[in-house]
Amino acid sequence: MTLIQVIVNSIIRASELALLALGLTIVYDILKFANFAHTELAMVGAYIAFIFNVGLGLPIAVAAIIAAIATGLFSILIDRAVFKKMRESTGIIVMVTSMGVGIALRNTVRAIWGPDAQNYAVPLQKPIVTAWFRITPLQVWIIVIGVLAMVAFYLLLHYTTLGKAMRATSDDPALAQASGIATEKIITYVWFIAISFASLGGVLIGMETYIQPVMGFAIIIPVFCAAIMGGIGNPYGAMLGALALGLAENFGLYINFGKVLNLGGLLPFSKDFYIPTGYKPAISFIILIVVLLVRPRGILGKKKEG
Amino acid sequence: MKILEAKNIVAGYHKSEILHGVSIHLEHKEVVTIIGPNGAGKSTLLKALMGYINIFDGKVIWKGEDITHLKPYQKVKKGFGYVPQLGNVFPSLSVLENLQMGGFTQGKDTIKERMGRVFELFPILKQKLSAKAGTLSGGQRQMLGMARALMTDPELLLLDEPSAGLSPKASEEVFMTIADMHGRLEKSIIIIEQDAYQSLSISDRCYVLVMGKNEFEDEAQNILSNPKIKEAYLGG
Repeated sequence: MTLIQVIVNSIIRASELALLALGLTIVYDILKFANFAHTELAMVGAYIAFIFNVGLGLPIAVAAIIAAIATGLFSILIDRAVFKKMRESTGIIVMVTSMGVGIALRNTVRAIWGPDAQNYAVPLQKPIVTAWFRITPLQVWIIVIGVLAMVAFYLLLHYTTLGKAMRATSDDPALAQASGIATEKIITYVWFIAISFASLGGVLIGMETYIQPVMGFAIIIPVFCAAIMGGIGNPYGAMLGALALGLAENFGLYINFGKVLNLGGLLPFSKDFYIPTGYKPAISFIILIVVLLVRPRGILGKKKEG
Repeated sequence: MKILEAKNIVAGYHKSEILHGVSIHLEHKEVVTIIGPNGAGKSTLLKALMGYINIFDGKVIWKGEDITHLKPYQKVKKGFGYVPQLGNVFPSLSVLENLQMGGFTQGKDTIKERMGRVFELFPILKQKLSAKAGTLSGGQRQMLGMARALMTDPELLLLDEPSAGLSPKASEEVFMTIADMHGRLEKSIIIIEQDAYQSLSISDRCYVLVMGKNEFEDEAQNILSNPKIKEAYLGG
């Protein structure tokens, strides 16, 4: 595998993770709790797309858009039914509740579709092969959608009244209300945007691999890791964290650790030692632990001003 | 003409009662200062009037309408403007964005027009439009907080300790601006203030609160010339 291929793979992974980490971080920023149901909602979105794609025969792009809207609306329902009643509760209580919501979602999907993996009706992709790397059209789309989502989110935050109101609510919800901002309405938009992005991320992951009720649980650590590494609560941090994690995961598999560990033959380690692909998720765990120890507020961690 | 009446307000945080039946009123274009020792419930009264905390009993009447249980953003639409003691700006937003958020309920053209008026009162803000509010000095933040509140052209301004934490010079500037707001823009204003001398000097009337109850009420000038009150509440 060439170095450029590793970088391309990293960007693909980062694009998927960023869509999920971005939503997680903005919910945290506004509602001040770590939503453990976030990736489970991405999984729900992936299954809703499955219904429209495989069940109703719609093209996957259309199914993904419908799923993003439906999952966004579904998250608003969950907020009204569960989280809204807990606005005054501490973050830890709401966080544990979100774990419960996540478990309920996962098992409901499992009860309906069973535990097995399912695939979208997507035709086999002929990869684009160059001298330095190969990439499938789907992976190109993943990068394009990821980048477009990031740009759209930046424009939303800085050039729209809604985006500025979201930032104002994040800064100081009480003052936002004193400015005439109906913060509950802003929270509704935040849920919709965050979970629609997550759903899109879930569909993209499902398209690249497969969908399964446990897929939300499987990606929770990388997504939290990306958000925390970038600085939880900071949307640009989530994007940067996703890119850093994507690079770390792929370079972690690419580097020959044997050469590092045997110190040029001084120590009795094999000359060639690569981390097996199955251990890829462990890289996120290790990075998460290191980040929490060394720089708990992350790369772009939000310093509370004022 | 009375525009605001708070009748027998019983209010507090969660279940704990801080105000035990406070009554105040405000005439059109009047400036009223509320003073009292620490823990008297002055800030709590403003928060109750603004809709931030539960009013267990009593009524808030605004121009004849019962608005007791309206939420803060609904009161802004009714004509209330509120500048809290702490957290009076959005620190991560620029000065321009703070003003835009102040005019959240207004149209684009209105926001432009209001900004023009606000810059006449606070010329310093015009020079700092792109600066993050979190980087401003205490006095500038207070100015921005008031400017933000003025973006809706409120009929009533509630100012919670506008001089808190400011240098004497900055404090003087803030009170000059408040007097200017009252004079030029004809706002009705309620001020909670520790530095009661400055506040009373620009006020029409004053309420004294003690332990969550009305203790005393008089014309501001009478209070300033009353040695007993001066000794008790203005530090002699």
